[in-house]
Amino acid sequence: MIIGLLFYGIILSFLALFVRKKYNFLRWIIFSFYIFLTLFLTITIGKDSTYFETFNLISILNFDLSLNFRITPLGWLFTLFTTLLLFLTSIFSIVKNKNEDAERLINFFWFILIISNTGLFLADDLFTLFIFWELIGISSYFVISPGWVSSFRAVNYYFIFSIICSFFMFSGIMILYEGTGTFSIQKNVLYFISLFENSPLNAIFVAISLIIGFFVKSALFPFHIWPAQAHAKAPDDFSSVLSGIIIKYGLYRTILFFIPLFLFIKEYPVNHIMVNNIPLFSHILAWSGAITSIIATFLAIESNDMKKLAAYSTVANMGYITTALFSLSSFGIAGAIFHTINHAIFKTAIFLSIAAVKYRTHETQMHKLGGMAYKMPVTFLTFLLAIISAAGIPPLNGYVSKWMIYQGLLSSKFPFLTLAIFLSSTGAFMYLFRALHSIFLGQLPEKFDNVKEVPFLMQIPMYILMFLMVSIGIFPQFVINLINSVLTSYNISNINIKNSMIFSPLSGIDSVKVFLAFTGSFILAFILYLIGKPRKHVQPLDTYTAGQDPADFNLTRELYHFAYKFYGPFEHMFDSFRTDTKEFYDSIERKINEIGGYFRDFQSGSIRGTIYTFMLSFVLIIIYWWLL
Amino acid sequence: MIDNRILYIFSTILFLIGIFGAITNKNLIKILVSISVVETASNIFLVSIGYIKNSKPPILDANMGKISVSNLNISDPLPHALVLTAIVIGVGTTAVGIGLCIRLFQYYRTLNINRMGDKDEL
Amino acid sequence: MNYNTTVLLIIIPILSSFLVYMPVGLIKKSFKIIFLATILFNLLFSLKIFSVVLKYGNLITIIGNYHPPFGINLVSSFFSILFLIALYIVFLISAIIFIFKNDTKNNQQKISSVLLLYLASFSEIILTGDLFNLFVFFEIFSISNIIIISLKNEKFSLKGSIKYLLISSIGSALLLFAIGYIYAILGTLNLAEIALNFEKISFFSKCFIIFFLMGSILSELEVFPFNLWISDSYAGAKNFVNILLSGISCVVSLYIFIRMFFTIFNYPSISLYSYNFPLDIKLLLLTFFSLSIIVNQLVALTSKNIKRILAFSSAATISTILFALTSGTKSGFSSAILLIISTIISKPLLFLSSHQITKGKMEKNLDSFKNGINRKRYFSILFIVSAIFFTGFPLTPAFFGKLMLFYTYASKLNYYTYFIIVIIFSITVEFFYYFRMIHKLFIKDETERENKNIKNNLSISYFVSGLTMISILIIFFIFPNIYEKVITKMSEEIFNQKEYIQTILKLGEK
Repeated sequence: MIIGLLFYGIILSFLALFVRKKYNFLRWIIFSFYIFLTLFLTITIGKDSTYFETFNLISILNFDLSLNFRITPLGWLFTLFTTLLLFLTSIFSIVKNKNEDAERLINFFWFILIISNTGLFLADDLFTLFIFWELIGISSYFVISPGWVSSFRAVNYYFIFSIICSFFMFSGIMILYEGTGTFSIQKNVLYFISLFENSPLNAIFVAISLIIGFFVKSALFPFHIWPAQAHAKAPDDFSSVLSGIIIKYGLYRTILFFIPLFLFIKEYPVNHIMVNNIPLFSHILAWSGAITSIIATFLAIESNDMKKLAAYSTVANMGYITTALFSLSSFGIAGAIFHTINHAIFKTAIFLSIAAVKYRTHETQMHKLGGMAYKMPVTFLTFLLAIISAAGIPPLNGYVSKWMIYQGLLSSKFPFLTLAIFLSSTGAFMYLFRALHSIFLGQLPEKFDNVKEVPFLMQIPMYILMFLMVSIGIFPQFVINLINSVLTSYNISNINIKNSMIFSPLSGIDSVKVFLAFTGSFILAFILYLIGKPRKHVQPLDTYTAGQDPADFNLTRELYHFAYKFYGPFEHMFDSFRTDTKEFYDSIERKINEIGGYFRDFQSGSIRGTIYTFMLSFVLIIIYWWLL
Repeated sequence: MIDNRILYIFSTILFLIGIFGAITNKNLIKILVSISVVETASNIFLVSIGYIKNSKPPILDANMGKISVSNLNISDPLPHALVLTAIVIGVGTTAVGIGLCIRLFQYYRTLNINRMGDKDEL
Repeated sequence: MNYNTTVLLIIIPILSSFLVYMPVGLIKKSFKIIFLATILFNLLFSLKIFSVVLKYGNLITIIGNYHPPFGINLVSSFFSILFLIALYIVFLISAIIFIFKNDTKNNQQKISSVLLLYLASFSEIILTGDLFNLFVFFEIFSISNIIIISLKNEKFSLKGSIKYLLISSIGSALLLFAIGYIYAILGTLNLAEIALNFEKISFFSKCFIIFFLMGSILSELEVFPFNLWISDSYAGAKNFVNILLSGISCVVSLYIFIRMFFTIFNYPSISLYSYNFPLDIKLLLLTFFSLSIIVNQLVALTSKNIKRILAFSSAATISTILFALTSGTKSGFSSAILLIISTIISKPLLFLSSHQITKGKMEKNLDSFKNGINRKRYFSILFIVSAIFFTGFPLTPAFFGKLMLFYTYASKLNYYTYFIIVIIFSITVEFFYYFRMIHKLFIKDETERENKNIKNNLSISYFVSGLTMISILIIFFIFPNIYEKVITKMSEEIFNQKEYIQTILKLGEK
């Protein structure tokens, strides 16, 4: 069934390629129909099934390279929410791509990407995993930059990092394969654990080559710059996929490999360095997550481009997730997975509303926007709910998962990590409020007076996303029950949940009660608003300055809109700590080009150099022989 | 009589002289000549391998009688045959090289390799 | 088994290289028939020999009734014949392009004669059973290479060919020294007999022979410090010459490397240790090839000219293949063969399609790829597909080659394993510049509209040859089991040095 799904996906993707430009909405309808099919099948299979499928691709030179698929609780959960969000995004794309440049190419490669998305999460062996991993890397190259000069540099950050990480992962896989003789994930994980007992040095080599992929794909500290480049320059609807889904692939693979390993070491800590009852390696990873989240928060506060801001916010969220995941308590792991899902939902909402604003205004610089709330109310409401959720304010879904993360960290006694997370979470308020203020509140520039709300088809996914955010916030038990089955498969104690009441080791929370309390206070405030004095709607220029009419000295609405360098003084405080990681990578690129240029000139040099070099290197070989 | 070892050393020296010439000369024709010297060095080396001290030329005649291991005092003919082929090939290479020199001279009006377009860039 | 007609594979091309001058006057054009008929004969006859090899094993051609340790003889084994067939196919494609080209009309007759010599020489190099014929035809091979590089008659092609000439003639002198040394020590030039006695000779002699052979072959193999000729030669040569250089010349030298290192030196179990100078030849070779991979990829990365990019990428691939061979294991060998298969087919295709895409543009640099998908849709698709095959997209031969390469170096965890990082670097750079080129194809060009008058007619010969190669690629993609059996059999043959010696010297019969 899964094979059939993937196979028909490939056929449909080629079919969609031949749709005429005039009827291009058909192409995107085929696209969303296919995603709907995937979603439907995922739901009908169900999480508890032990469905297994194998397809004998080839067996070449004693390598059994067959595609194996298995429904695991974790894989199923990831497939479900990614497919759901892809489906919502694809509905948005139908209208959005009508006049898009190179939409045929975007559609084709995006199709390949969603096919590999399903394949990646349901893969049962490392070879299948690698193939789909590679396909995703290559296809997202052309979705981000389908022959656009503007996004070419941005995509290269993403692409180079992703190729390096995938081939490091490949070398790790081959070392594991050498030990087990099979690509099966379960056996290889067991072998990986035993490798840590037998030959730790090799195991560390494997671990590093596997973890580089995680660092790169999830944009942890030294690699945290690519999302800001790639997400900002990608097609607007694809940015939501990049930020909500593609960034989670590294996380998925890390959960597969490292959680069993660390849990095993935690249980039998013989011969291992333990810090705070968790392995040292895990502790380092947790800290790198915390550092990433703090750095990304500051970068998000500084950025003026709204897509860049959202991208850095994604990086910060990946930081929380990493920290929670490697604290290795059951609450931490569950919180991490839950926050992964929640983050995907609210970040899709944020990016879709940004895409909606850009669809109407063609503007991404925040200080040039403003006052969109009156013109685009649905988009505004989506964005508002999404940032409430992202900041972790109570009645919405982000609150529950962040609460779980704090509980997990505090209950396993990581006060400093909690503090770091708390710091970046506070920073999240700052940049998210700034985005809300600069885009939707404030003064509407005159050139946007005729902006309308996006078409209804683009509003549908927004309504659904709002519904999801609110309902998961009120009834988290539906998701947490799914996560509990994941925890069971890793032999971790489940989250204690009764209806909507979650019990942690430290305290408990009932999300329905929280919701009722917040709604109650909101209604109270609304009643106060209604019974108060009648108000008059004042236009921004309906005022006087020093007794004069503003129109006399050319005051415009834009000048009233305070958005440029919003946190200027705050940024100024951190001037001395600023280092430019992008500049670092750029300098590496320049150096490589310099060395390459030197060799190029050397190669195409004079005729004499040819003989010289030939003889010199021949003599060098002989000298080498004499010296050694 | 000349010892084999002297021939070996001679060919090595000739080889080094050729390489030196190929590296230091500016004129393309001179470089080609130096390379011919290198080839000659290797040919001398090959010939000297087949040479055995106080031996006869490898020609069968009535005086030799029956050839057996005991009276096999003839120099080895095989390297001589090889050298003949190698010489022919060397001539071919040189001819092609000189042809190329003529064409290069038509483009640059010089045979000095230092002036042959170091800065040509595609 | 004796099978003396194999010699026709060499005789017929040499003969017809003189025969093509015969037609004069009205029937002058019939030289094309002689030319193509010779290539077709070689292709078909090699297929016939292949069927005989499958039946009886290694075939030995005895010339003048001198039995193997003496005289000239040809050995056609499974490995060599398959190599030959693959090379003949590439040669045929290149010949078709050459014959139906318009701009070489004036001296086509002379060039076809050179090409036939080229054909004869690489057939002999691959089939030969003795070292001296190897030397002779290697020389003829490089002379014909020099001539066909200089065909374009521009500054770059002349400079490139004179560089090639200087390097190859010094290299051939070194080869001659090595051959003389071998003859002086072992008293034979037959490959099998040398292989039989090679273990017994002294440490110094082994090192001398290996270094001198390496000095002569590495320049043909485009390994970095020796490869200063490729920059100008590839960029200055005609398109069909690029196909020959990338698809045949380096592969032939790879064949020589494999024969030398595996059949003669018995590289997997070579012991180059004396008390005073323990020489870790594996480390030496690995260092060299790693350096070569890095430098070639960097030059390909920074070059602007399309042909140069492809040339240096090809050089880097050859170094990767040598890197795989250096491991001296069966999996390393299979990896090398897979990469060779991928190179033989996709590299000529890359040259062919990029030539067609940039046709009509003044400068053949990266920017001339712009808007290729709309200008030359067919060749752009060919380019994309072949680039994907070349870089090692999953399930292509190159991918399996890289898989085997990683497996080879991962299988024994020691310090050689860390050389994998070089391969990862190389793959990353390679992916980067090939995708940069593909990306350029999709960029819309504003200056395009001005000169729409460029003739856009599709040349039939290019179309057909592109179609042939792409269909071979796709067949390999869909049915990988075709080459799986071949590789297994090849590695069995190469790693069974004893059988090679026995079948040739007939030691088993005594």
